[in-house]
Amino acid sequence: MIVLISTATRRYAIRRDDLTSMQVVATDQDLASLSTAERPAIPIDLGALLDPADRSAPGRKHGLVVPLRRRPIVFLVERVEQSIEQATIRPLPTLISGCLRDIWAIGVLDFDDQLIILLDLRAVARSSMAQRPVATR
Amino acid sequence: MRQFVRSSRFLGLAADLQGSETDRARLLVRLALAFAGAVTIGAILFAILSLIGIMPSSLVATTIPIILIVVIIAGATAMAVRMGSNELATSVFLYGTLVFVAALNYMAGGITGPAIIGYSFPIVAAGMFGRSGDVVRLFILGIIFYLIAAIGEASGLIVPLNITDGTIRLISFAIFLVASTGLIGYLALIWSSSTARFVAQREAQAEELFRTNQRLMEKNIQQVELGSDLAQSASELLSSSHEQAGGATQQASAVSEVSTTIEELGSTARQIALAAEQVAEASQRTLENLSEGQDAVDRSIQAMDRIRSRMQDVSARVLNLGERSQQIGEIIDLINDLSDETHLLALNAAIEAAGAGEHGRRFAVVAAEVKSLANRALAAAKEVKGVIAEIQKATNSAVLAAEEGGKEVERGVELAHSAGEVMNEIVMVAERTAQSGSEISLATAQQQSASEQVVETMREIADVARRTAAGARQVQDSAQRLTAIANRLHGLSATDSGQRR
Repeated sequence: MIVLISTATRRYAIRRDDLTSMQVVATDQDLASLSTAERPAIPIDLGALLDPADRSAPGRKHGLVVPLRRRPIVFLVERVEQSIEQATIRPLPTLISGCLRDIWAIGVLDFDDQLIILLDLRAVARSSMAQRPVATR
Repeated sequence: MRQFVRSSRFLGLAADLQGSETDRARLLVRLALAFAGAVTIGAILFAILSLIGIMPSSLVATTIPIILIVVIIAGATAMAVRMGSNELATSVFLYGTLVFVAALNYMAGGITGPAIIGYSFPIVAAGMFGRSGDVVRLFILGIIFYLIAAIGEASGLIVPLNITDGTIRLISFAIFLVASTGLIGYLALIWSSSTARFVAQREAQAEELFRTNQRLMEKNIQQVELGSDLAQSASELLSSSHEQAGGATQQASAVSEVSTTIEELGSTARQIALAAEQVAEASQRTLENLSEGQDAVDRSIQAMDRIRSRMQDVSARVLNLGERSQQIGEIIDLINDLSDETHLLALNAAIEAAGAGEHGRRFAVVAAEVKSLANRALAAAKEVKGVIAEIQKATNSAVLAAEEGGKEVERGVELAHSAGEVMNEIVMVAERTAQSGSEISLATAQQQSASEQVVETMREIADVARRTAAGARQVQDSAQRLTAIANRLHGLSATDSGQRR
């Protein structure tokens, strides 16, 4: 199942299976509810991560929880729009995917005459976790 | 002229000084008394000589009538002088003396007696006191008396008394000679002293006449100088009268111009008075209008106060509305959050329903409906939020506008107050203007009256100037005549001075 999400200026598609939950993150308590004592959740602005210019204003967000082995990653987006059960996913061309260092985009979704990049959110979470400093981890 | 008359009178007095009646009378009385004294002394001497026996005793009786006659002659002379008839006194004395001498010759021995020498006395006295014909008449009369006596004695008709000879005759002759010569000497003394006094008086008169003549010449010179000064003064007076006449004419012309100007000024004053009255009326109307305007300003101030109060009320209400809108916005946010959360829950439910397969299909339909409702609510909330934002924006604008309006109202109130103060000042100025207009009207009326008086006065001055000009012309004529008189006087004095030289 594909879920369409929107950041401050862009629109992406993700796989539902990559997530454990989707919930509203408006306060620190909301974020704390996604953490445990041993595994505090790490909030990441997905729009700004993918494009520094796509930075959203602070406030009420939708959190996409990706469970990693050590800690859960919460990607914050503006809104989770809808879910699509049957969608045609076109994989990236080999030439493009071969040039990518991290394979975050796995295909393109054609929806309402609009091409939307399908993200591998779990890969994004792993890469983000790997790039974070050890202390932070 | 007075000096001339005075000099003529002096010359007349000087000419009649020795022949003065008073003087002559006084001398005549003195001479008569001397004559009487001498005769009386001689008679007494004869009487004494007769008593002592030197002379005949018959002479004693003769002396008495002689003394009586002499006393009578002297008394009559003095009485005539006292009566003021000097001519009578002179005649009494001269002819009485001649008659006495004739009688004395008869009583003293006849024509050959010692008294014959007495005939000389009245003739000599007539030369001094008598008139021009008395000497001749006395001389002739004496000759006649002598001839009568001589003829009488020669014929024996007249026999003289007291004929003596020898020593007695000599003594008698000596006494008569002494008496006669004494009287003649006294007469000569009187004559000489009178002549000397007369000469002295004449000299004094001549000296006085000389001084008078000198003063007259000095006066004449001064007169000549005065004539010159008079001519110069007359010339200056003529020039001055020329200038005065010209000045008077110019003055009359200037006064006429000034009078015309003053009349124009009076006309202008009338116009000013009319304009001042109009100004006063306009000021009064302005004052009335200003009073109404002041009331209007007061009402506008009150209205502005009410508007300010309303504006504050509106501002408070709008502010309250903004707060309510804010509350609505918060509610809408809550609705929005709820819708968003519902949307996400419905999405999760739909995903779960899809995961449940055929069993979750109905639940998926419900979740889809819920999701749709949530989206609709979200859209509605978004629209409401937009509307609320617009309301809040409008409310903020209204609040700002109300605050601006309040400030404008405050400024309007201040301006209204300023306008009221300005109106008060304008009212004061208008009152002063009205008062000044009235004062100007009064002053211009007074000025008009004064101008008329000035015009009248200037007319009088012009009349006076014309009369002055006429008088100056008369003075000019008089100066010309005075110049002619001075020239004539100067010429007359010069001629007189030349003749004196």
